[in-house]
Order: sequence, then C-alpha cells, then structure tokens
Amino acid sequence: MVEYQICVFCTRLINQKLPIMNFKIVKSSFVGLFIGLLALNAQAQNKTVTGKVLDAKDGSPIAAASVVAKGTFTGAKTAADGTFAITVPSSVAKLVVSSVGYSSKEVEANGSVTVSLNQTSNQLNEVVVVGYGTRKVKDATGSVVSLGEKSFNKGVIASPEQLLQGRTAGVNVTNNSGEPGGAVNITIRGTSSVRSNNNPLYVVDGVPLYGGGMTGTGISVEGSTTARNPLSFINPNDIENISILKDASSAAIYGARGANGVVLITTKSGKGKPSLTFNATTSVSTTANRYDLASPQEFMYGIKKTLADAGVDVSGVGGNDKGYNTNWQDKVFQTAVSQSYNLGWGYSNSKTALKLNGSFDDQNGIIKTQGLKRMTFGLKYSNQLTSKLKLDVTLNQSQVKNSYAQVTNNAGYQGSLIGAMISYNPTFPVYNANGTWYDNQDGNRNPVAILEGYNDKDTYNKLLANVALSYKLTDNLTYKLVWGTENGSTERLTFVDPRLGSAYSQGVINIRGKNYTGSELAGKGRAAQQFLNQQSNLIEHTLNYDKTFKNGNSLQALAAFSYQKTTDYYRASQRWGNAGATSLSTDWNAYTGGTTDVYGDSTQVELQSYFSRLNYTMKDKYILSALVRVDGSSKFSTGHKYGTFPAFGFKWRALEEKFAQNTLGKIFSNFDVRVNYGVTGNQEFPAYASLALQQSNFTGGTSVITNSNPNLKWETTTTAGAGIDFSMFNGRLSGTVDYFDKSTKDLLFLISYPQPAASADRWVNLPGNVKNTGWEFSLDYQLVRPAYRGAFGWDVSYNMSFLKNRVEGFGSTVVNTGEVSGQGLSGAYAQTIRDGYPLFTFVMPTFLRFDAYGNGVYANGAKDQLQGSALPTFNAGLTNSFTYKKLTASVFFNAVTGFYLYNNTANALLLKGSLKTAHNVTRDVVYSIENSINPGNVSTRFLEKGDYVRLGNASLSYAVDVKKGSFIKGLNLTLSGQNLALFTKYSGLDPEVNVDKSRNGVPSRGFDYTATPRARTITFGINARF
Amino acid sequence: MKNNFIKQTAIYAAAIAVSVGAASCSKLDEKVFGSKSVASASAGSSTADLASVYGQLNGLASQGNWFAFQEHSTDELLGPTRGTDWDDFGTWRKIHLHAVDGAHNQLYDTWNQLNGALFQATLVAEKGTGTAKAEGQFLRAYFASQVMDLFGQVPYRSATAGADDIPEVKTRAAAFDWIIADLDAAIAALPTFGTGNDNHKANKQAAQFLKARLLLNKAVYKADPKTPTTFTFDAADMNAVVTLVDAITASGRFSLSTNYWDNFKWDNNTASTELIFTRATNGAGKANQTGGTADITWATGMGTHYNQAFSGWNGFTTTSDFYNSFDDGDKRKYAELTNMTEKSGLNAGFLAGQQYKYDGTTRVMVKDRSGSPLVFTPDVSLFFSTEAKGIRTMKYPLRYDQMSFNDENEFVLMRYSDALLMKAEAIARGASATGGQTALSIVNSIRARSGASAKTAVTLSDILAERGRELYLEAVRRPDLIRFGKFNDPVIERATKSDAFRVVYPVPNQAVSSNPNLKQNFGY
Repeated sequence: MVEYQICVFCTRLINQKLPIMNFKIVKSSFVGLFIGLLALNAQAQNKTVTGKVLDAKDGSPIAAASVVAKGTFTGAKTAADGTFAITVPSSVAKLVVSSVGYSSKEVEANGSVTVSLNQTSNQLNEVVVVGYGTRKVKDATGSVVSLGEKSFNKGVIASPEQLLQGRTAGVNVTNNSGEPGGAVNITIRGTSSVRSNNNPLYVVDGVPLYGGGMTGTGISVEGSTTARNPLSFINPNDIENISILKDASSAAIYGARGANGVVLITTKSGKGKPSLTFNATTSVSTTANRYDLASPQEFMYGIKKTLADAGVDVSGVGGNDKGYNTNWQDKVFQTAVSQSYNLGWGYSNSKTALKLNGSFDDQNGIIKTQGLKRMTFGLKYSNQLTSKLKLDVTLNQSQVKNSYAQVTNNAGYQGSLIGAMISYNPTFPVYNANGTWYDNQDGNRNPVAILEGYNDKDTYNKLLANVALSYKLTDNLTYKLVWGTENGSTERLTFVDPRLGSAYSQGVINIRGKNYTGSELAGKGRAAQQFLNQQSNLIEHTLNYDKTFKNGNSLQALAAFSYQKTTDYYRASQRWGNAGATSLSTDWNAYTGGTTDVYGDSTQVELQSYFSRLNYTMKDKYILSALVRVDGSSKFSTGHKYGTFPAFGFKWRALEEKFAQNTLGKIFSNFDVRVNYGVTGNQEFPAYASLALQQSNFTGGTSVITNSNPNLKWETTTTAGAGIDFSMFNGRLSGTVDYFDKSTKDLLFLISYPQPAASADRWVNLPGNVKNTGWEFSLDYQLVRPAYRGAFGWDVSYNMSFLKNRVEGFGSTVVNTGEVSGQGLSGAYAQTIRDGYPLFTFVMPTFLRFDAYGNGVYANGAKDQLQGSALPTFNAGLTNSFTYKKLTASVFFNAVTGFYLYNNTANALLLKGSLKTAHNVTRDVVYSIENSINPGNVSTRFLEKGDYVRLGNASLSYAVDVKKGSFIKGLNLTLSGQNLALFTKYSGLDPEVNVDKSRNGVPSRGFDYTATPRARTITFGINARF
Repeated sequence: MKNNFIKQTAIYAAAIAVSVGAASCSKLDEKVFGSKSVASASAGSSTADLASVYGQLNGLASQGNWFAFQEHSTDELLGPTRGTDWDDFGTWRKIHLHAVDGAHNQLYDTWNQLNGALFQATLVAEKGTGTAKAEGQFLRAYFASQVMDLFGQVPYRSATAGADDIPEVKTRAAAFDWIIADLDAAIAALPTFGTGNDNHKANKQAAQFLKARLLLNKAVYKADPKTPTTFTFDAADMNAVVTLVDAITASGRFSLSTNYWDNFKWDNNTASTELIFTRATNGAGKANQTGGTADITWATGMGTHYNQAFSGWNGFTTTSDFYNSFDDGDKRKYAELTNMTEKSGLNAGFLAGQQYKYDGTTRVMVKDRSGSPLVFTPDVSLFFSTEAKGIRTMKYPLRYDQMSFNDENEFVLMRYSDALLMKAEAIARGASATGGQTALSIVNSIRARSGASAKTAVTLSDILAERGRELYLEAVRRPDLIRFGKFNDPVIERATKSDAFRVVYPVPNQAVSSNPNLKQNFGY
C-alpha cells in the first residue's frame, strides 16, 4: 500500500515538466548526497535498550510515553504496561523520556532502565503544534489554543470548524444555515478584511490548503445557491488535534496568509501496540423550530379582510379556497436519520508508526432532498529509515456527494423552496387526482413540485497528500523536505423537470454576450453541468537548528523556502429539452432541445516564500521568539509581488524568578506574561486583480472586464497583544487572559475607476484601517476533584471574548452591501461600511409604528439612519464535564450577543400585502394592523437583536466493563444531543444564520433569508477498541 | 528488502521533489487562461472592437437606468409602488419626484454604462481608420451627448491614457463643441444610409440627425447650469437644424411610414421607412451577432400584468394627463394589430380598461391575482397603488406566434418623423421655412397619418405636445420639456414645481470620489 502510493507520487512528479537543467542538478548533487548519506548510515553500529516507564507518585505504568535517543529522531513509545524497547546507534549516550502531563527525564542509554516520571502540576509540558514545528505550552510566546478530541463538539459533524464552535475564546464560528455541509463562517479575533474573505488559513498535517470553494454555486433557475463548505472532505473522526494560531506572532510564520489566523489540523497517528478502533453513530434530526403559519381558515379570513380593507370587491375571493388543508412544512421537512462509521487501525514501534483510517458518513438534511454522503480514507505513516533519515507520509482521499434542494439566497418574487413553503396557499392540494403536481396556474410554485422536480447533486473527490523527508545533518541541524499536493475535482449536475412549467424556464440565458432566448427555453426542462478541478502543489525546504546549551538555555532556529502553485479549472454548460416528459430525467443526454457553448475559466496562482524563525529560551524564564517571512505572490505586478512580514513574541515566566516566588508564588502555581507583535498579510482576493483583462464573447469580440492597477500591493494586518497564563490552587484552576489590538491597512478593494473606462471598477488599496480590539478570557476549574478513581468529578471550562470593530480613516468613502431580496425590493440594500462605524453596520430608516391606516411611520422623514452592526461584540462558551464511575457527561452552552440581524424573510414574505395576493403568512401577520398596501420598505421594522444562548451540545458516555484479556479492549457508548435548546428574542427561526447577501461582490453579514432551518439532533454512538 | 525499497523510493522522490523545488524559484508571472487575456494595447482597431461599441447600445433598451432617467422624470411614465410590489427602494419614485441624489442606485449604473460606451467608442474613434473611425466618432458623439444631457459635464479619457491617469472633465459648453466636431468629421466620412438592415449602422443621415438634435438644444447645453430655465435660441442654429433635416430628406431614403406602428412592431426593420438609426434585437439573422443584441421585451413587459398574454411584471404606467392629451381615434393611442391583437388580446398604444386574452379561440377577460376582472384605471398613486391602477403602454408590439412572442423589433434610436418635428420646431423658433414645409404642414402630416384631426395653427407648445404624442417612450421627453422650460412644472403624482437645478442629474457619489476633476452639479 505504502509503496504503491509513493510510486504514484513519483509518477506525478515525473509528469511535471522539469527543465533539463534541474535534472542535471539532481543527478550531480542531490542523488549523490543522499546516496552518500545512506551509505554512511548503513555502516553504523546499533545497540538495544529496554525498560519501563512509571508514574513516580503511585508506580503505575505510563502508556504511550515517548522514548527518544537524544540528538536523533530515533524513538519508541511505551506499551500499555509501560515497557519499551529501542534500538539506537551505539554512539547514543542518553535517552529522553517524556509523556504528556509529566516532566521529561534523561537517562543513560544502557541495558535495562526503569524511569520514574513526575507529574507536572499542570499541562505546561504538553506540546502544541505551531506552524512548522511544535512547542511546549510553557515555551509558547504567542496566543495558541490547542483542542484535543475530548473538547470537540459531538454529534453530526460535517466539517472541522463545527468541532470548535464556542470552545475557544476569540474564535467565532457561525453555521450559515442548517444545510448539511453548509457553509460555515469562522472569524478569529474579529473581521479585519472588508473585501477579501475572513476565513483563516487551514493547514492539514503541515500542508496549507488552498481553500477555494469546491462545490460551485448551483446554476439555479432562479437565484443562486451558496457553495458548500470546502472543508467537508475532512473526516472529523480522523482529527487528533486542532491548534489555532490566534495572534500575529504565531500566525506570521504563514506570512501573507496569516492575517485571519491559522488553524492547524493534525490527523491521528499510530500509537503503541496494533489496535483497531471502530465508531458507529446513528442520529435523528428534526427541525428545531418552524414557522407559525396561518391555517387555511386564518388564511382565508386574512385574504377577505385585507381585500375588504383595501376597498376591493371580495366576491371572487372564495376561489382561492380549494378546500384542502396542506401543511407545506410537513411536505418539505422530514425527520432525518444519519449514520456514520469509522474504522481505524494503527500501531507504532521504535521505527515506524502507521495509522489507517476509513469512514463513511450518510448525513441527511431536514429538508427531504438535502444530504451529504462522505467516504474517506486516511493513511499516516512514518519511518525512521536510518538514525538520521526519517520519512513521513500522510494521505487523505475522500469523496463527498452532496445533494441540494433549491434553497437560494437571492430569490425574487417566486421564491425558493423555503419561500414557496411559507407562502403557498394552504388550501391547495399537493397533487392532482392523476398524481401530477397541483398547479393553480397563478405563477406561484407548489413547494413539493420544487422539491421533486429539482435534482441537484455533486460529487467531490479530493486527494490531500504529503511526503516529508527529514535528515539530521548534525546533532542539532535537521533538513526537511516536504512535498504536498491538494487535488480536488467536482462534478455538479442540476436538472429541472419540464413539468414545472413556464414559471420555471422562461428566463433568457445569457452567456458571455450570447442570448439563448425565452422562446427556445419555454416549457422545457433544464440541465446544467459544472466541472471544477483544483490542483495545488507545494514544495518546502526547511533547516531546523535545535541546541540546548550547557547552561540550560536553548536555541531553535528555522530557515525555510516554500513554493506553492495552484491552478483552478472550471467549465460549465447548460442544456434544455425534455418537453412533455412525465418524470424528471437526470440524464444529461436526454436534454436535446438545445445547448449552450461550454464556458468557464481557469486561474493560476503562485506563492513563493522565504522565512526564518528564532526561538531562544533563557534560564527557562525568558523566552523570545522572532520571525520574518517574505512572501511573493503572482497576483501582484512586478515590483509589488513581495511583502515582508515580521513578528516577535516574548514570554516571562514570572515564578521562575526568585523574588516572585514569595509574592506571586503564594497565590499562583504558575504565572506567565506574554507580549507579542506581528504583521500578517491577506492575499485572499481574485487572481489577476492588478491586470487589465479582457474576455472573449461567444458572439465575437471581446469585453474588457477589469482595469489594471500596476501599483496594487499586499493588504497587511498589524497586531499587538499581551496575555497572562496562570494557574492556582495547585493547578486546579488555570486560565488565560489576552488583549489584542489588530489593525488592517491597505485594504484590498474593488472600487469605482474614474470613467470613461473600459470597465467600471478596479482593485486598489483603500486608505483607512479596520481596527479590531478585544479581550479574551478562558478558565478551567476542577470544581470537584475526584477523591479516588471513579469518584465524582466535575470540571468547568469557560471562555469569553469581547470584541470591538471599527473602520477608521475611511474618509467619505461609503460602501453599501447587504442586498435585500424579494418582490418589490429590487435594488434594496441594508448594510454599509463607513468611517467611524463597525464593519457591517446596518443602514435604513427607523420604523416607529403603524399609523391609524396601518401604514408605516418612520423617524426623521424616513431618511436612512445608521443602526447597529451585524458583528457580535461578545461570545462565550461554558462546558461542564462530569465523571462518575464509568460515566462521563458534558453539557455545553454557547452565548453570542451584541449584534443585529436583518430578517429579510419577514421583509419579503411576512407582510399584510402578501395576503392580498393570496400568499400565506405567519399568524401574527394575519392579525396585524398593517394596511395591505403598505410597502415593505427596508427599515428597522425587520432589524432585530440577535442575542442568544444555546444549549449547543450535551453528551453522556458510558465505558462498558471489558474483561482483561478479552479481544475487546474498550467499549464506550455515547448519547449526545446538538442544539437542544435556544434562548433568544429573535423572531425568525434561529439567530445563528448568515445568508450571503453580498452586493457588487462586497460581503455582507447577518442576513436571514429563507435559509435551511437548523436541526435538533440526537446521536447514539458506539466506540470500540480491539 | 521492503525497507530498502522504501528507502530508495523515498530518496528518488526526494531528489525529484528537490528539483521541482529548485525549478520553482519562480518569477511569479501571472498566467492568464482560456477566454481571458490581458487587454490588448491595440484595442479599438479591429472590426470586433467596433461591433462591441454598437453592442453598448443594447443596454439602452432596458426598463431602467438611461431609459428610466429620460422617461420617469416626465409625465410619460411613473413606477408606482403596489403594496408589497415595486417599491424597489424608491428607485422609480425618486426619479418621478425629481428627488434623485448622488446615491441613487441606477444613477451609478447609468453613469458607468454611458461612460463605458464612450470610452470604447473613443478607442475606435482614435485608433480606427477610414469608415470605422467615422463610425467610432459618431458613436462617441451619441454617448457623449447623452452624458452631457443627463449629467451636465463629460469626462474624457484618451485611447492612450495610462492606468493611473485621471480623466479631464469637460463642462457642458465645452463638451457641446467637442461633440459637434466629432459629428462634423463623421458626417464628412460616413456613407449615406443604404438599404436593408443598414439602419443599425452609423450613417451620414444619422450623424446629421444627431447634429440637428444637438443644435436644437444648443441654447440649453450652452446655458450656465446655475441659471438653467430661460433659453435664447439663435436663428443661425435653427436654420442649421432645418438645413440638416433637409439634407436627410434629400438623401431620398426616408419618408413617413403609412402606418405609425410599422415603426415599432415586430417587422419594423422592413416595414418602416422612417428608421434612421436603431439597435438590432433577436430577429432572424440578427440574433447573437458580434456585440450581442438588445432585449426589447423589457419595453413590453414593464407594464403588462402577470396574467396577460404577454406575462409582464405589472409595473409602470403613464399619467392620465398624458393619456388624455391624445384625440380619440388617434392610432398612436389605440390600434389593433393583425397577428397580435386577435391572438393575444393586446393592442398597440395604451392599455386601458378591461383587459382580454384568448383562451384557445374565445376572448376572455383577464383576471387579477385575487380573481377579479383586470381593469386598468387611469388613477394611480406613486406610493399606494393596487394591482390594476394605471394605464399601461405598449410601444413595441411583439408578434404572437404559437403561444410565444417573438421579440425581433428593432429598438428605435433615431426616426424620420422626429427629424421633421425638429424642423417644424426650428421654423417655429425663427428658422426660414424651406421646401414648402411649414411648422403647421409638418405637424399636420404627422397627425394625419395617425388619424388625428388637422390643426389650423401651431404654437410652440402645440409642437411640444405633438412631440409627446408622436415620440413617447423614445427617450426625448425630458430634453424636450427642458428646452421648452416645462421640465420642473408639476405633473400627476408630483404636485409641486421642482427646483430649477434638477434639469441635470447629480453626478453619482462614487464617481465624484473616484475623480478629483469631477465637481458635483450645482444644487446637489
């Protein structure tokens, strides 16, 4: 298996076009070098050391402790009984023995040894993954949060961000909707970029992901659907640890891509004796909340009343009552059953470690046709080939199949599935007597027809692999070579049934200047095909120097070069036909009425970086870290390609000072002070932004689509921060306080280009700053410490963050965004970015009340006024964990406050006037005093505070007794619930929602518009170890 | 053995990876793919570039932007809010109320649309040669005249300007002279109007027409924008208008069509004898030509109700005053057309009263959304209208074939009867009558063809009213009203006189902040 994969890599590499020059270099130097080194190693003499590692306190064996030959990579892990055996070169004098939660110890590398390790009072010696290496918690100068499996959210998890939601201070995760695998918005320490995306950089096992969306936006018949989460290809069960680099001094090691923070995902590796793990879960999801729609009686009463009030003849109104009682929500929603299986096998010995992981997920949405099926395979292999040369291979192959419903984010009058579900006449039947969909021929769409007559699926394959070779040049100096690849491809096919009628397929398709007219399309089914391929290759060379001096001071230095090239290919085409069909065909070739030209575009981006980092630890109390990264990107013009991103961090471990031990030391068992500063960049804007580009049209000729800006440069974020890490009561209480001040300048922005010109806008670096300042607190408290093994224990973990966001120095520039959709709302927007206010501040007239006629009364002559922002100012998470005998339980609450939401659903659909045109509304609207001719202007009538507290996750787990020596080594049963309770005053279904309402490409925040509602999910899981 | 294999493979992989790494000391040049390429420095010199400039006319046929600013500001059109429908952020209402400000959403689009076209025309006008250059100059003059007319100032960027050059801005008076110079060059170099489809190509007569239109409005364009209400029309300019119109007549290519609707219905490309300059739509042989085509369905659908045979979006209406300015029997007000009316129930002109459609072969009443008969009523409220309020317009009748409409009508930009009415007005403003044509004879010839009664005398205001009836929805009402000093007067659903400075629109805020040479117009 392993060999085969490596061969695949070789072929891939060989297939790349290599300049002849470099082959020569390879031949003459590198191959020679490596062969020479190999020969040297083959001659070395070895010896074997055996031993046992015990807890110094109670003499119990420590399993999975690490035993490493000092000055080499050669290492072994202890077995469950604490024993180990390690073969090392005879030149090795000492072994370093370490384990999480214990201080490490050095012993002579001779014969048989017994090592007793002392428990550390806290987890300071735990290792965290930072970029390009690991550090002990006590030595980390920056703000790095590390989350292990036990802190992850449980239940139905589609992507890794969902594991983190609410669990760490300063990291705000918002599920944009309840769609399985739906997009997730994650911001670390606030929203700093206006135009570029604010998603952090994801690094999986050392390979930075390219990040672009992989599902494509659906070619919908009306409105566009949001792309799904590009990270859904990762198997959450295969994640061992997630590290978040929050501050610039840590994130700057990723330079131009670090401005939004960095999320480092480490997948599981093999540990100890061969073992097999198996997890299976089954989940049941239901809608957590539904619309309180009017019944047929209330609906008919409402129509009559509104028409009579408007002075319209009501004699024909009865025609609206078809006598049925259809609950359209029941027809669209379902109780969804999801399943997940995960099988892992792994082992490690003194030389090799191997972990294989396979999973299958079948997640079904609460909307009948939504779902996600995922298959993944993971391999992690490492081999100490010689005492100096180590090989690491990581491979993740996954396939995700998404199934979509027609839930769009910008539907107009006829609405998307959810819009139709709300407003479709409840007295209409679902089907005609002959089984066809009921259609009242009034232009409104039967939600069941939308559900059944629409088939939209994609298959997404992704390979993520990297091969790393480390070679110890000297005892202190290691060279590492990493080659990584990310290769994804998606095929999305969308089919629309011709029986959905003219209301569906009247629109003209215009593709690059060419019109496919309504008369060609009318009455026909439609099909759309989209292919997306993404290929990203990474090469990294690093040199690591690690030296501990005789006085105990230590130095770590890193110098590296990195190059990443990413190419995207996209092509699409549309067809129509199948008129007169009596079923929905999902065969592309069945649509023979006509076809569009194949269209699409490719982009290529290169990123080339040089970077270096120095860590110096003095007397174990002053720790200094300094780094600089120079990033070059093909996205800029010559002379502006490179940006320099420096950073430094300093930590003072106060209790190491003698003078502090009698003062601070009386209160604290640990007290560290950190300061950090760094500059990071953001290059998440489209390729070719600095160029004047033209596009050829299908009708001949070309159109210029962008104006050039040869002076375009990096957007940079400067962050200064300080923090304290402390623990008290012998480690029972530990916590962290952080403050940061983050300022982003040279904002990359697409703005008006002075006319006359070939196109309207161009990319510039906008003057002004976006400033984010915040406080973050996290506390862990062992409220009840178990008196003995199995006794009752209670841990409380709490985090909160306060965040302030402001746009400064923006001058008179005003950028409006937040398009409001719906009938009568063309051109409407509700959000603005302007000087002195937070990003995503709402702007609209202030609604006061309805007057005596039921028409809206607005303050200040109905002029636009600045309202609150969509960005939360406060986030908190509280976890209570309990253990008692074989039971563990945890309850997790999440609170988000200080933000506003725009209820576009209510603005577009829940108006009195909707009844006048025989559209259903919620019950409160039927009885409201609003006049039916009162227009639904954008106003604070639909702007609401979004504050909420959610019982996000609760789980109960039981460890079943297994007999010693039985083939089962462990068995756990888990019952968990997600989204169990929600406390909010928001009138919509759920305040955790963010429908993309961007305008002219400027992102929006905090809009609720006919999104897939969120589910409440109960999951039963079984976890067995063999 | 196995280990050796791994080692060797690993080393081999490493060696190649190193070489890829070495090869990748990249210059970081951008690679542009497929349909995209770096814009060429020679843009403007190819035939495709010229076709793209013509393509810029397509956008004028939409219901919004340029069309809305020229029409909704007058008595011809308004866009009422209908309960939950058509509020559209007040975008239509603000134009009718003369309350447009620099933040108006359609203003920025219009500015970009016209100036983008102006720039593309500049590329051809300055880099093209021969007839292509003259076509570029004509098209530039057309777009520049619209920018001048709407915004009162015209920015200019040369074809060779650098990316960071800030365009100069011409005042209205300077822009006028610049446009006339372009037109004089175009008149000299363009071929005479040909036959067949040539009406959507620049031609000598179209350039003469445009020059006549500009000279007729010269008093307006040369006036100080701060005191814009009274204008003095120079007799020399009026005589020049007459001379230009006579030159168009002398080409022998144009005459009044016998049927007014031949100028607008689906076969206007062949049926009309009046079309001097048009933009092609999706007709046979014209679909998907270089530069694309205009979509005429906007003009039809903006008024028709959802339930009518041409299912429109039930939007805009005319005012009752404008509707009532027509004699009964005037075919421009109401005409039934073969191949449309008997199949779809729709008539040409204005849609008023009970509406009908055909259910197979029987004429049936159209119903509104709540099931009541659909009766378009003359009364309409800008803020609070129900579904059936307001009289709708049907300027571009579509052929109704096999249950679907063919939108192949040419979109009319310049028409011979407009030229004749310009001559009539120029004579009424002091030019000498020529060729036996007087203001009265011209007006009566135009009225006679539509079945309206003959006048015994015409005043200037009669000419304004006749222009309204003859040229409604042809985007000349606003400049006409301005020239006659009546633009600011109250109309239905704008009860008070608007401020005099409203004769030009504000420059959009985004444009002002993008170019320091642009100063916001007086009053805004």
